[in-house]
Amino acid sequence: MILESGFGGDPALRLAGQHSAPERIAEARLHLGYFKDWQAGVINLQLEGPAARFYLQALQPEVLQVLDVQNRLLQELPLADLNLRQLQSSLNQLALSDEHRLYVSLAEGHAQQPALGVGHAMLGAKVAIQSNRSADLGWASPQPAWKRFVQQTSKLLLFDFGRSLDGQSIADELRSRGGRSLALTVPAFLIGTILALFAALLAANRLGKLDRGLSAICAFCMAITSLAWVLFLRFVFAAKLEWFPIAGWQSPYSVHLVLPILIWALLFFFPSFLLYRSIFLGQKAQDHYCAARARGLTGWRLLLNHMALPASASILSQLVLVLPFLVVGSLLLERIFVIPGLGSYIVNAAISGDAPILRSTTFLISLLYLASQWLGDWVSAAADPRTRAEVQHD
Amino acid sequence: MLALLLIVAVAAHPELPQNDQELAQTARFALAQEAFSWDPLASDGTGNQVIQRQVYEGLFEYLPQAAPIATQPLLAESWQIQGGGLEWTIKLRQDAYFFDPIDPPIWPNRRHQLNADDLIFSWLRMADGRNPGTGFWAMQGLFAGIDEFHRATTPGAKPRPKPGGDTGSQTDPEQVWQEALRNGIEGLRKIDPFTIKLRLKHPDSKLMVRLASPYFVIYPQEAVQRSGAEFLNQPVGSGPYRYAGWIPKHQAVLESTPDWRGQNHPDGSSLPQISKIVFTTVLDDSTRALQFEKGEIDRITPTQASFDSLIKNDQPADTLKKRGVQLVKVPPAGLSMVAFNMDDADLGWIPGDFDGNLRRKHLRQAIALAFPYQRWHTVLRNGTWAQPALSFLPLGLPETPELPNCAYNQTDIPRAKEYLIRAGFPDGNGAPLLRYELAGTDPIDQASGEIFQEAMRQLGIKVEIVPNTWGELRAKMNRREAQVFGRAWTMDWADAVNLLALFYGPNQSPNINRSNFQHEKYDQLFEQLTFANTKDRIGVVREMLEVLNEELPAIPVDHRIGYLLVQPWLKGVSIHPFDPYACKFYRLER
Repeated sequence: MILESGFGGDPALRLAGQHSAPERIAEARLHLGYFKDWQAGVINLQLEGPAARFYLQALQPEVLQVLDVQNRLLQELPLADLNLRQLQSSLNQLALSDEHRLYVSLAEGHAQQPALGVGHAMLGAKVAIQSNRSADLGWASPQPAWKRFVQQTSKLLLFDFGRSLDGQSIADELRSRGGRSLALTVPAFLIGTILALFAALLAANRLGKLDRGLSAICAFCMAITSLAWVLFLRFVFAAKLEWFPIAGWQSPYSVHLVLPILIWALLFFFPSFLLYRSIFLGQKAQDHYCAARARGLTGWRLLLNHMALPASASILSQLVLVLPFLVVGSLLLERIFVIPGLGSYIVNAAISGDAPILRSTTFLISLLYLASQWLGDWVSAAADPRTRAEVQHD
Repeated sequence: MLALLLIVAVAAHPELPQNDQELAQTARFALAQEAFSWDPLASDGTGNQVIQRQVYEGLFEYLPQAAPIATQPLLAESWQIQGGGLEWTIKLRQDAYFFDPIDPPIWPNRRHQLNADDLIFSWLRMADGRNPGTGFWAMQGLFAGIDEFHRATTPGAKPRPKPGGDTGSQTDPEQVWQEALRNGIEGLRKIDPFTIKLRLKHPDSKLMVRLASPYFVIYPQEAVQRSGAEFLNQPVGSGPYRYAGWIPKHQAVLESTPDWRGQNHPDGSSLPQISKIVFTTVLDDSTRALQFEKGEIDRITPTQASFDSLIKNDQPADTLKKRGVQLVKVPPAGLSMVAFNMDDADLGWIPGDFDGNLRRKHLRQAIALAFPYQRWHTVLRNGTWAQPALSFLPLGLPETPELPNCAYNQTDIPRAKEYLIRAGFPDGNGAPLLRYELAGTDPIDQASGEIFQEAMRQLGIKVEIVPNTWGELRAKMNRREAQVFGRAWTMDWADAVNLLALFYGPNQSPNINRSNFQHEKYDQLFEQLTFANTKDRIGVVREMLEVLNEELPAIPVDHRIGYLLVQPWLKGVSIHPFDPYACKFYRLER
């Protein structure tokens, strides 16, 4: 509802397009479900008198405003309690100027309809009334906001995403683009996570120079913006060394995916290392770790059984929260490396105000987020029986 | 990490998997705009136009040479003009076939002969009031009965009433549509399966160039019926290329149409010569530039951000030059301007207010005289890729040499101050605060606002820079609320009318007259030029330009010159201002 209510501009104006006439805007509202019914040309206006121009507009459906050419308000006609016949006589008596008179005619069979429909049909449009030119006003009956919301939500619940403003099937786009985003993010996520876990385990175990050095490097690298990393690494490995293509998405896809995957993995490595290191250090301060060491355990057995395994619940619950973002892809990498994934799809939709796409993707991401949280709880419980006991105890 | 990178890089070297034979016959182009639809109803965006032009054909096409601008028949075989230029009888060629690349195909052998019914269907579909056809304006007022057809098919529309009377009975759009499909309309009739008769509302000496625009292409009704809402993904055309793959807003793959009827290049060779074309949308400037430098794409139009790295001293940069990269320049075919909203009480024209109108005209003239054309050229055009505008029409048009220049579009601060005094604002005292509306959020847009702001400061006029996305500015223009804004118009066909229509009164916002200019004499002259058989065409255009040059509903700033860099292996590229990717004339010599 928020998206439809004007986020990024009036969706009907965006849908109607650059050369939109009042009829087009009304058609767009009909298409978007704002109107139950719409008819063009219910009222016809003709201005008699010397060359001049006036405007009609409805900033709210309840009031019709009459403006002069300087956009000065001449008169306001309340529409709330009128029918079209009464509106016709109000318009006929309208004092535009001494020299100008308005001739207003009404299409057959509409006399008793509420005049408020004209206000609804004109919303967002400004109708010019010019000497010797005819202008038409339409009539619309609006769809209540709650009904529109229910209609749209019920469609979403049935996974009927409809079509974007440029006419493409959103479900088809989500399927194909989601797959491409996953092809980029899943390998990158796995590489980044495994490397970060391994490095964090080593650093937390040995501390000293390795730990300080890696922590400092990661903190420094995180301070550099992702865009700079992407451009720099592409410049070095694709432009200068020519190990990879600059950009593109065509068969064989792996060739075009390698560099963005490695960059994503690298950028994911920095914060992940610092996070896992702190989790492992937390485990190192625990009694069970000290006891294991006191019993003389060393090496990988100590690390895996008494540092990594007890930390697995926290790590897994962190990791599953990343899952929705894997589907959404990476806006930056997709744009720079020209990969037609979901990241670029969502951002372009936000820029162009494509409410149907934004509505569908918001819904989908929310679902994924809920699912990942549920998965996180489940994984934590499975990995650490104490968590399960706590949950049951609570 | 670095070691891993090295291993993977060696394993996945880009040169390895490409099939050399296929690569040698594949042209790869990067579009700076998204192509999202194959439906000719959405043919107003450059991205869509480029891909659609490879698949669909019209009656005429532009000759591949950029100049002089001329047409040659494409689907038209012959034509006769009668009735003082009002009646055109056009015979269609009988060897033109549609090719259906979609499975399952509509026709058993995928091919179907193109005929007059297809033409009537395609053109009327653009004019159907129920469709959001973006090109109807190109045929509006052209054929007899087309406007009436549009109105009758607009849902809920009624015939025009008489003053004071009722508006008459409603028409059923579907009935009107079916009737028009069967019998045509007054200005568009089938004579026999391969002959149509056009009846124009007024003679149009530029009809052939207009018909060569992408709004008049022909496609089969069966394809639209078969695909329904998916027609935007399933094109069926008669052109030299057929659809072979498609990721909306990202990539279009085309292959040469099997058993195409063939066409000879002006040099005698057979067309098309390239068997596969891949268009990819690459929105990022630096990526396109790098791809071109590395040979991943075959041509590039440098934009403001990448121009200096690719072009040096009006030549390709040294590294590119050594590789044999060619520079092709495209003659200007449009106008960049700073537009004023003539509805605006501080800058515009108010009926009956003679003194005020004169003062506001002087204010617009003062602004035009203070505008920093040179700085604009240096900052926004890299000092190169635009030609200063002498008036409102680009130099390439046949009428232009005989037309008057604008006296106000050159920086002259003392004169600007004089005009400001005439406007009643000596040294800017009492001058209104101007709002310069930006058309985007990137640094180039911001720079354009700052340049205007600084220039007006010299006159003592304060300017507020209003940030907008393009969508926001468009909505403001529709509502006639934008006061001063930059605007660029690329002509759709080589005719002064195409630019002059931008200031025709009935075309006011939300139509293409974004300045909301209304001038009785100008409108009459425009109607004389387009709707009447005027013999003194140049005389009429001259008078119209005199009005524009004096009234200044916009400041004509410059005409952008297209710079195009072409890889040494891509031959036959002569860029046409109205058909920037005439791929069937290209050939690859890798």
